[in-house]
Amino acid sequence: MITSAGAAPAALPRTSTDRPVRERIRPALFYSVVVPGLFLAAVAGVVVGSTSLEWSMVVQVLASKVVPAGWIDLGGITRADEAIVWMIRLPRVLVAAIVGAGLATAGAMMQSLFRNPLAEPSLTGVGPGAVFGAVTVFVTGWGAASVVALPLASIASALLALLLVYTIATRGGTTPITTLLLTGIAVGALLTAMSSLLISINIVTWQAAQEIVFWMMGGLDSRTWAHVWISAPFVLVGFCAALLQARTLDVLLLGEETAASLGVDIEPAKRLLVVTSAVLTGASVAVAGLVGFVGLVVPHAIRLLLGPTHRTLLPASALAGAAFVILCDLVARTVRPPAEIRLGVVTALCGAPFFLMLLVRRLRAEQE
Amino acid sequence: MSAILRGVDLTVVRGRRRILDAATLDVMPGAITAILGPNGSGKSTLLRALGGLWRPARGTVTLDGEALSHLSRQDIAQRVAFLPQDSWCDFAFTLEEMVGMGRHPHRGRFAAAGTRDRAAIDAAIARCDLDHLRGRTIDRLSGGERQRVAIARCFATEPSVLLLDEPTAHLDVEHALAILTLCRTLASTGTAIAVAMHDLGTVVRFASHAALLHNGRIVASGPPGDVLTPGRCRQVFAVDTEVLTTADGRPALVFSSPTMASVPAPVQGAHS
Repeated sequence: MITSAGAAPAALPRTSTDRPVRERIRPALFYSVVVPGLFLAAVAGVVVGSTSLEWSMVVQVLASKVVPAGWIDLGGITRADEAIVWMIRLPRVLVAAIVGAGLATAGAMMQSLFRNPLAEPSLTGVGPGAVFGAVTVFVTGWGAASVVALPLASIASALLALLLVYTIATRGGTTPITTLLLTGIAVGALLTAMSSLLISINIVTWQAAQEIVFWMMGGLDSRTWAHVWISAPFVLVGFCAALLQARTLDVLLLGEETAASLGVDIEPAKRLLVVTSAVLTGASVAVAGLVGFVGLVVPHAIRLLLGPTHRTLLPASALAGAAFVILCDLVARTVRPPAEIRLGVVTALCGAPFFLMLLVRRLRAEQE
Repeated sequence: MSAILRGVDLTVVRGRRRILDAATLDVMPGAITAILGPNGSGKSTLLRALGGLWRPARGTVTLDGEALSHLSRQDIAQRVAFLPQDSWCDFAFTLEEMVGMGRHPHRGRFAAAGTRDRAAIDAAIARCDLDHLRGRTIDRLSGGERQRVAIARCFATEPSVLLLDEPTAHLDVEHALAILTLCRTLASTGTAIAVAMHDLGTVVRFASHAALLHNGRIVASGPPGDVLTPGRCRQVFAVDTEVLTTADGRPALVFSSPTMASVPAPVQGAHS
């Protein structure tokens, strides 16, 4: 998703405009709202659901798991309630947080790498790659063998897609960013077509088809601790790697030539950024399916609030992304119980109007 | 005084075209070297080769006697600042953050800005007369202010060599002269400056050296007045040149196109 927003303005205003300076929010204020907000969203995510639970009981169960045994009396709490909290709801909330943080961080990185605030994390073919891996597992039935087969195949396939895109887009040691973008779109389209082909020639039952389609719409139903343990390390490592590149990302926003003149080794820097973002995206898609708009909208909104400096932008996006996906998932499973709306549908329903609003604002600003 | 940045026999090939052909240029401390030539003559390419951004197919660039190819990107960036023609950025950094990026080559991956960095940023902002805009985001600046910010970023690096690619393009005369005055101030402190420019009239008055490029070759170099002779202007730019002397005794150039004489001049006073 790219517009011409990256282009330099054709006509520059002759003098400073008198419009008020766009106020940024202090990071301290932002964190003092978002950190408790994330915590509350997480607890709410565990409390609210098809079986209603008491807040106090949930806090008691969660606390009992983190403090030494015997400190907290679990009298009066049934094994079933404890299982709902610990085995069903909590892993689901954690996966939501991991996915939200991963996608938002990856989105922030891609927007800076492409110097376009409307770029999204799966641009380099990573999203369609992850889907292709997942579809392969569905149609071959490997998924029945192990709960981790699907996410692992998905991550592997996402990284292979990136490798393919990067290899095609690189000539003589350099990878022009527009070539990378176009190759990503083309390879993405090819992989999507191959996924559709696999689905259409292998559908045995509508049951199987529904499973695949639902997965592709994104969702966190029946996620377990296994999904947490699969995605968490990738997202954690990816996030730390992103933070290490924070200042490189700042400088890259001035354009590759300027960045090089400021001491950035451009090609290695780009490779590291693209791989980091692919790891984050691949791990997220692997455990949640396609969850759109998180990586697009969250970093964009945070940039408006806190400015484009990545040392602030990356952690703030990760926190806000985590809270956003937890809340969207909460909506997804409580609007029409006991059935669930797909998570990707909820994030798109929230994200697309916001995105349109940004576009309209941008057009209006350009007309002024 | 000996050259700090020295390009010898630089040849740059892109595709099949030889866009720079055996160019040799010395950039001296305290001097302003103007790189002149028509569009597509290789000015930007020469600057990029001198800054180590494009590797020449043949020839070497040395910085303080060391070949650029033996220096790391960061080593070069600490000593050579480069202002490309288009260094615009769509993202709303504050002016201070933007100028602070000039310190990137001096900072470690994790290091916060130190006192040295702060001092350099403050000095660059003050020197470019941007103090009153400090906290403003750069999307709220005019074209002239943006260019001053870009120059301040180069200053903040505290480079020994400054390479500028048409720093005054798109600027009105007031802002263009302000930028050139800044360059002069910097040169007076010993910085070596090479600047690609189109405005020959200004160059004669403001640069201390000039190199004239034609089809990728340097056809003349030396004091600007000696380089820009009517004969060479005709050969390289296909224009006629008249050299006048201004009240302060310095040369001023007036150009006319040989074909212009055959077209009748617009009637003066037609609207009165």
